[in-house]
Amino acid sequence: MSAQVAYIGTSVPEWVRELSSSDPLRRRLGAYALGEIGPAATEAVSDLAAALQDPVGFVRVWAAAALARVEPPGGAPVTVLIAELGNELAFVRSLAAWHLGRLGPAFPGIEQAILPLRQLADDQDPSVRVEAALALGMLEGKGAPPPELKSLCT
Amino acid sequence: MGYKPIESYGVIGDLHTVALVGIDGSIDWCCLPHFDSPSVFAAILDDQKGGSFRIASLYEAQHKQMYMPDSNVLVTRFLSDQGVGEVVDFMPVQGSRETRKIHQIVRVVRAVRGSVRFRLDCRPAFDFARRPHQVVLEGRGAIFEAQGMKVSLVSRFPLGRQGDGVAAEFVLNPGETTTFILRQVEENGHDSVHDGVLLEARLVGTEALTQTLAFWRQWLRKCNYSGRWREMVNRSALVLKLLTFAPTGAIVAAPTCGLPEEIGGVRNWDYRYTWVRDAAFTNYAFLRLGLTSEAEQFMAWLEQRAVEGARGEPLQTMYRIDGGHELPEEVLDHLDGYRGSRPVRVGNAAVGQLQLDIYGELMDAVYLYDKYGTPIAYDSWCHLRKMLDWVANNWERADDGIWEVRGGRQQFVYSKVQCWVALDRAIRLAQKRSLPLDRTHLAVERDRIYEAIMTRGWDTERQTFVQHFGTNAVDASNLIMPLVFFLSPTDPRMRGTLDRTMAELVSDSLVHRYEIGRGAGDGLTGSEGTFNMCTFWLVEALARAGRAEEARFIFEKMLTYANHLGLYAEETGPCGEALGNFPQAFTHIGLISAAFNLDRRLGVGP
Repeated sequence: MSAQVAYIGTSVPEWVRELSSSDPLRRRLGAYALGEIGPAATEAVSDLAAALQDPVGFVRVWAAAALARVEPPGGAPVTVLIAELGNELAFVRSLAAWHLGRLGPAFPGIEQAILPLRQLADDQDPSVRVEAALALGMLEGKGAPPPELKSLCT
Repeated sequence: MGYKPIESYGVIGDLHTVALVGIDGSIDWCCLPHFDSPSVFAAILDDQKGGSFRIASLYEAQHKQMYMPDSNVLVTRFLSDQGVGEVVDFMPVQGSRETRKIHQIVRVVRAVRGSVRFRLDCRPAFDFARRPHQVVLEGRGAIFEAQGMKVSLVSRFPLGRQGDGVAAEFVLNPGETTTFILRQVEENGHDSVHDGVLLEARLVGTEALTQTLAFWRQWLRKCNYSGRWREMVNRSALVLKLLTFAPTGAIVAAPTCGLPEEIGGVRNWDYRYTWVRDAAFTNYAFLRLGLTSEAEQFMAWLEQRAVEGARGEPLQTMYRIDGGHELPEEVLDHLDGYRGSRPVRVGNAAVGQLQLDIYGELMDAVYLYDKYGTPIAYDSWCHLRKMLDWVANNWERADDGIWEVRGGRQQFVYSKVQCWVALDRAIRLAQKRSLPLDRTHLAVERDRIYEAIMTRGWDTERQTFVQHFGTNAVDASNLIMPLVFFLSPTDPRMRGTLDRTMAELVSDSLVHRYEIGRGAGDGLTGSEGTFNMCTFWLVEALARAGRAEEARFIFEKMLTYANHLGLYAEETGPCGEALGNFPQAFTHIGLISAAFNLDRRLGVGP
């Protein structure tokens, strides 16, 4: 069945193979594609779980986000994403914050992310600060009006 | 993929170039870095090979499009019961002091209601799909590299390779936003563009959106039109500004090439250049609306052309937007053409034509600018004087006329009228400003032109001015006579011409420019739609002739032929479809002028 499920024309087994590529960008794309296929890519769960240990931070982040969509109830993705909030690379911290926000307030265990996200308010990198604030907005259900509407009020 | 109707597009731009965005979220036309550069996306001319950049909801959705108020920021909406999504498209306008010229199409995607699944497909096809390219996937997006040109696509979502393009599917949660940026950085000749610059994400979509909205809103605030149909007039002004090339002040006639005047037909021209005629009329429209800085910049460009004209050669009918003279016409045989409308031409052979009317349009622009803008400088006047001498000595020549007929030169009445305008405005300007001029010589020639039109351009039997000396065919361009004060709008000859034009060239309020197969044709087969500018000229001529209610009905009917965003092409087909290049400056100029003058004649209302 899974062979019939595809993301932009490529099937699950082929995306699973990408997780073993020597190129981290291909591993990232493989993880992302499996996440987009979602629960129908259940055969990829163990490979995605293995990718949570990938040596490259951004691959770990995308694998965690994918796993959250392929097998939503698991707690591992949140743990990995929270850990990556402390990554030495700003863009990985920012990416992890963004993904935590995207998981939404109903995702099991997401409440553990609130405090670490708040702590990023003092991050030295502006993109990390912005993404953390946006993620908190998503998780705390505040939302915000579209910015251009605000500009029209000036 | 298929072709969408021409009227199903909106336009965004950065005052260097534009992109056409379809109501389905597909960018099917964009030339980079400038209007007249080779295309990067040209699916509108070949839906298979041309290249496009589409972002759309994957749900079966109803599509809608709107501009953010008072701006050229376009919102394409996808409405379905599964969720409502939007793509906000714009091109940030750089300040003139930026040393590195960056052209960007920013696409802010968001889920407005419910979660929305989107798909992105970006497949550039450089140089009208003639130049192959490579795709390099990067952490922050992708780079498309062809010989001599690189374009990047910045994306937060990983992109997958699809042939010679990239694709991605993504879900946005309710209220969530993501931004894609297609970016091209102009090489400055000293250093090449690093991939880091191309993929730099320093521009946050929402910030750029706020800045771009502010730019357009501040610009439009200078427009002082307060009459009827203000929304349409403002939209037309915004279109004209989009067609302005900021570095030189030149104005393109339209930002596209090859869109047909008849589906499947051969009249498929390249309008991505500056016609002296169209640009002079645009100047008039800007001045009418109080937009004097645009007029000032364009006048500087126009004066430079006049300097060239003063060297003893007539002006060219059109120029490149950088003022260059060469526009070699080339047929792109490998392209299908819009709905099979071939050939697709780039360049424009009409550049070599003799079109005497352009001197009148130029001098009218100069006269108006002197009146409403800045008084003309002495050196500029000296250049113009030499050009006027040339007009006085050459107005009797046959020419190719306003419609750029390719079927042989004639003594076109419209050209004569505009030669009269050139000399008349020069005499008036010299009088008003006490400028030196051989008034006697010019006045003699001006009056000779007048008599020639009245004797050889008038058909006593049919009671109408004709297209050219020696024919009895009518031509809608003669509707301009009262607009340029050649004769009174209530002169019996003008009344006769109006009635004859309405009888022979008007179809359901829309005006054909001339009768194909009668009078001087363009030397080509097939037919064409009604010419929108002529419809607006008819409105103005009727209004000036005291037939304001009739004019108002035609004007308001004409407004219904605009697309959902208030944009017009050059022509309108029998079923109301847009035909020809799009959006077209000439049409929007006509709308502004007709609205202004009709509103004035209608007065304050009951």
